[in-house]
Amino acid sequence: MAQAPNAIEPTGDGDYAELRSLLLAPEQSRLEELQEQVEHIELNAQNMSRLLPDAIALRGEHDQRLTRVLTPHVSEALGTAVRKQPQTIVDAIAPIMMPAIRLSITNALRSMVQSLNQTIEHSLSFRSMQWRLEALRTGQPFAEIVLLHTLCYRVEQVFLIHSQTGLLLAHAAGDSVAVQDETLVSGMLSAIRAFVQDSFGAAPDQVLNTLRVGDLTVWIEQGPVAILAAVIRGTPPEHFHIHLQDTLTRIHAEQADALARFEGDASTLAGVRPLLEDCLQAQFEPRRRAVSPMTWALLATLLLGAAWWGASVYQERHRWQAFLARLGAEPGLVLTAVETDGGHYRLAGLRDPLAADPAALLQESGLDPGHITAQWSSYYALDATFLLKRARLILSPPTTVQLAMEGTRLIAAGTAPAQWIRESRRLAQLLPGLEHYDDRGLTRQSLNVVTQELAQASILFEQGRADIRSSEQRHSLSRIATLLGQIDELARLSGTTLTIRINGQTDIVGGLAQNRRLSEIRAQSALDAIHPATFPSIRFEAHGVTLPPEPQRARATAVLPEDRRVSFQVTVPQAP
Amino acid sequence: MIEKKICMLGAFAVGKTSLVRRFVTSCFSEQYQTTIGVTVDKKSLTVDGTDLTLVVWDLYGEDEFQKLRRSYLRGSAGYLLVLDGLRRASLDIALRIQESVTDELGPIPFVALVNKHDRRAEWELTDHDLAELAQRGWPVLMSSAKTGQGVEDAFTTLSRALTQAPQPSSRADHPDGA
Repeated sequence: MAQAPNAIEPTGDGDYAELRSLLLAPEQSRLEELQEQVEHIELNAQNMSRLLPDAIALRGEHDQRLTRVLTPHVSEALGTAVRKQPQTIVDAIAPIMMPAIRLSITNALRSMVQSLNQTIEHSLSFRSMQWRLEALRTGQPFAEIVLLHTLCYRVEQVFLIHSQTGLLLAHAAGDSVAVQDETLVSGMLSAIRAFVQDSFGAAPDQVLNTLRVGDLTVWIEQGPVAILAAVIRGTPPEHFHIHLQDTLTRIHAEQADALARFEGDASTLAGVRPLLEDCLQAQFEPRRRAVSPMTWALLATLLLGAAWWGASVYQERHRWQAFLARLGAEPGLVLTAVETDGGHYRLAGLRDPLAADPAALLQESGLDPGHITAQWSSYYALDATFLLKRARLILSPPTTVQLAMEGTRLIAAGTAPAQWIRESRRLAQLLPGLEHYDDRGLTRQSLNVVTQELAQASILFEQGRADIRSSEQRHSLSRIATLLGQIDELARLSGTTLTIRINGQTDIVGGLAQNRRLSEIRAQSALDAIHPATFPSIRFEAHGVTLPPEPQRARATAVLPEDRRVSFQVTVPQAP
Repeated sequence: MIEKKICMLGAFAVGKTSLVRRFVTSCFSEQYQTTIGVTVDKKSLTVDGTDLTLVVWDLYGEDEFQKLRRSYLRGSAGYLLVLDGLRRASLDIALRIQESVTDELGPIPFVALVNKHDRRAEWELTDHDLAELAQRGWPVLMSSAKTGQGVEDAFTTLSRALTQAPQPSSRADHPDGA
């Protein structure tokens, strides 16, 4: 095949070409097309790479179709990238997000601290009292009153308005700001500006740029396409004008296309909202750094009050505990219930009538009796101290009697009249808790004392006589009878029987036999006078003493009246 | 949401405010009409699937004491031109207003509303007058502020024209333009 053209060379190039054209024209034409396509594949890619940016820019200027077409693909690609390579996205946006987050947190903290400071400051000052009164009077919330009084200025709303139509392009309002329909406000604001300009024949570049109503001011900045209107409460600083102008300039620069193509769809300008929000500034009156003296005074008062209160509470609690301990230790007082209700105390218990008076103890404790309610029920304490106390109270012993406890035994010692001894035995049986009353020692001692007294007693007689008739004799007899009564009673109480020997005596005058006889008569006479039957516990013996006792014998030569007598000699049986 | 500024125009007391009052959102007193000559209201509606908000500038009616404030027309995408069927003079004023607006804004969409249709028998306007308006190419609708007849239609018709019309000219910025 490669030699074929040479074989037909002699026939001439033109003929050959013609022939080839006649035979292969369709195939050759197709071949050229294919070759051209193959060559243009690279050419088109190169051309497109050069033209693509310009093509995109060109198309973007005409309409939004390119954006609409690409948006879903870009969104999907972004979503895929976030899912597959989140770290890349994080690394990319972190430099942007972190400062924003820090700024947001800083602002929030600053706002919180400022709010707290204001609350503290205003809740303690005289001025705040006035504001509270104003809030009560006007019915407005206190926070609002504080805001109004401390506000230097606050930008409450910002409107971006299309100059030509008066239509609202964007709007931002502060928190808790009452906002009317911003579309209508925008329209009316434009109408008012037009009215003022028309009415006062101002030049086109002389526009209404400030409105003032009460403490509200509207500052209006005019731009080529849009105006920026800020509604400000209070008195804004002049430099805020510059901020508004800068914002408007930036909006015109960044949104030039959207503004130029604005046909009523404000959503194309949604991106300006952050710029408007930046204009929502506020400034409050500078916070006083120093704490007011009144605040210090109030704090000091509060601290002192708290300290005083704490000390009072501690002291009262301490006193209360001491009082309870005192009551617990006091004999005859038994606490059965103790309750504390706030600052009021209640207690209940048992009290022996002989125990210390709880009211007196309460007074000694220093506690306020008004804070304490006590309810005491009576009871008999059975410990030795109270048994003794009770015995002393009930028995009322004379001073010559000593009472003592030995375990549950009450021991009486000393001397006492028989009548008291007898009555005490009866009463002792009634004493609660007393198991035994022992007065044997008391009875014996009392008997000894009386018998010794009787031993000292005598009845004197006249010489040669044995009768008892003189008043002196009767007096002696009466006293002796009393002593005998005591002795008889005490003997009966001690359960013994005594023997009393009545000794009759004479002086030396007369013969021995006569004197013996006289002494016997005198003894018998005294016995008769005594009426021995009235003393059942005493056995009497009457004897005449003929010989004077040894001491008398030494002075037997003297006649002594005291030798003419009867005397008494008591024989007490020994205690078992 | 697309917003368009439209104006309510017409002679004094033809019923412009009454026409719109029941059909729009308003937060300003009608007193503004007698003070600054306009009240701005709002009417939202859906036309052919498109949500539209008409910002309605209800202008004080033109009479011998007060002329139309042209500055209020600026930026309007269209207008409702209201006539009082009971007063033929309102037709003349409407013609004059329409000329003024066209002069100010160019041939923007509008709808002529012949009001007080509920008292049709007492009209001074004749069918001939209406035919003349139609001959001028005006879209003319009958309305009654009392019954509400024709009001929604008027807003809808104008809105449809606005969404189909080219953008309003900027002749307000060049009042002496062609």
